[in-house]
Amino acid sequence: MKKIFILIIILFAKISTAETTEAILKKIDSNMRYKSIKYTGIMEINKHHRRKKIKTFTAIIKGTDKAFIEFINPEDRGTKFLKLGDELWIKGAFAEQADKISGHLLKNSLMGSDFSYEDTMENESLNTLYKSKIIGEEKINNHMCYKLELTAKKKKISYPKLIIWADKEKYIILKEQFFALSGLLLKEMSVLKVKKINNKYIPVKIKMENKQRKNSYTILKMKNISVNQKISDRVFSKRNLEK
Amino acid sequence: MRILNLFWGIILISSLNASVSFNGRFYHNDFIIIDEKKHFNITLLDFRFNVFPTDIIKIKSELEYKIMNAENKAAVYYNSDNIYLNLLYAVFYPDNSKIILGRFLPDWSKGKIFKPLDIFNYKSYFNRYLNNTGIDGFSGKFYLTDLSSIEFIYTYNIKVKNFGKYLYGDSAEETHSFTGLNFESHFFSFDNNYIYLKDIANGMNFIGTAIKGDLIIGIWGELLYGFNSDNTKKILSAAAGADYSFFKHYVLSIEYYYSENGYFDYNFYEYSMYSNNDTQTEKYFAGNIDYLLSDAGSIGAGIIYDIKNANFIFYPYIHYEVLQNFTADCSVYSFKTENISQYFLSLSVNIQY
Repeated sequence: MKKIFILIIILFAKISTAETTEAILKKIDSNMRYKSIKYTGIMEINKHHRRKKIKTFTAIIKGTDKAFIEFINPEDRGTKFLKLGDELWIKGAFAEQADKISGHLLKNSLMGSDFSYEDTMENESLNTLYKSKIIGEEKINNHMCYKLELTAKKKKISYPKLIIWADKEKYIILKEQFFALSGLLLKEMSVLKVKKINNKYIPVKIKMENKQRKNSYTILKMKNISVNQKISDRVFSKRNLEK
Repeated sequence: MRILNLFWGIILISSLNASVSFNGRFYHNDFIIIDEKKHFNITLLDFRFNVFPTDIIKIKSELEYKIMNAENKAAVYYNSDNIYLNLLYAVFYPDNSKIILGRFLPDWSKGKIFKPLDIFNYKSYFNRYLNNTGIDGFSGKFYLTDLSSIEFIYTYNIKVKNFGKYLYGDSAEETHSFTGLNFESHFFSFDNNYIYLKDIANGMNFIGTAIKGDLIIGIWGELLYGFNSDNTKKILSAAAGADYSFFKHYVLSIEYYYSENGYFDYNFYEYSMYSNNDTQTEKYFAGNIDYLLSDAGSIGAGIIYDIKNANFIFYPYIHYEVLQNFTADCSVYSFKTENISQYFLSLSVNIQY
């Protein structure tokens, strides 16, 4: 009888923990996922011993599956990307026709940076993609954070496992580690600056480090941010890509 | 000279009250035939000038200076005029449409190496960094949905040898006027094109299709079928390919090409085979593996294999981004046939400004 009672308590404790992690992710999602977001991005790409490269672009993301990026720095001006669901198209700077990029390339580097196409265009909720559990609490930049381990619910996903550090007060991710299925640490993201826009805390300066390559990291700064503005579906079309 | 005057005139007029941008590049490529100790090189300097008078009109142009030197003696590339107006066209964007008028470069092909539908803009895989001169004509594209469209095209200077020499025989060096349609649709995860082209003067007809999409791996294919007015001469060429990237740094691709376009044409895959076989059918296989470097660039190797004659070309290469606007390439081409074994070294630099 005593054993059953203990088992019930353990089970109950586990259920309450599961609810807590779900609630945490829900709050993070509500803070960090948007109906739409539009911004100007400045990428500083740093590679081992090399002069840093600067690439600027405008990004428009709507819902979980529509994204449009246009590069505006002189070397790449006119290069555009359109993402609809798992599909990606590119229009080169001097081309008039759009070209489809194979879906498996979505996990590859975006214009030589440490972000993949998916990293910059993904807006799906964590609760939809991952199961989660709390594995501790740690301080990041003087902010107390939940440390959560997330494992993918589906097989076809870029990062089968994540560890995130979520600010306990603001419910934003301050640090995130991306793992392969084998458990290999692939990348680490750190939020360097957060801004409150339209009652949402938005990371406006992010460092993405490639843990598989020596001294390879990219800093993404976001400016001219507008969140949850109405954006026409016509933006996410070949009509716009080939313009 | 008239072309140059026209170019500068348009620049001057259109830039008076418009948003203007310009850029260009310097490109130099040295080829060394190792066994024969000979070399030749190509140098080009191009200048691209774009004017956007309003949100719905763009004027784009490309002027190029190109010169080839062979065995250290200056040699003229193609003809005595080394300045080319490659592009000069206006694009209009009425609602749901795109209209192009002038000298432009349409591209209906989806392949990487073998491109049966590269009709307007034939580009060899081995000189893909060189520019092509556009075709003069008109294109009107109407977008039916977000991912589908229909394009009408008229041009009066397609090089008919792009279709293969068999169909046109002695007139293969000529340029002809064409009208055509290109319907593009999208279903599942595939872009699909269906094309029709008609040679206005000679009554030749061409139908074709292209597909590109995903089935876990990336796949693409294209087919072109041509026939004369009394259906006594026919050509067929088809290509299919697939690629996949694994461990995020490797990209593997393969392609197969089948052609009944006629006699072996040195302008097509000219580097690949020293074929002594003039029969109509050609079959090639191509494979390529690319490793993305940690900094910027890639190293890789490719092979093009002539299945029928058992000839092949093997080419390891390195592509390196020295600076953000400065890339350098080095490759070795090894040709093997029954009678010939030859090596080329290719060194090139490309600087954007």
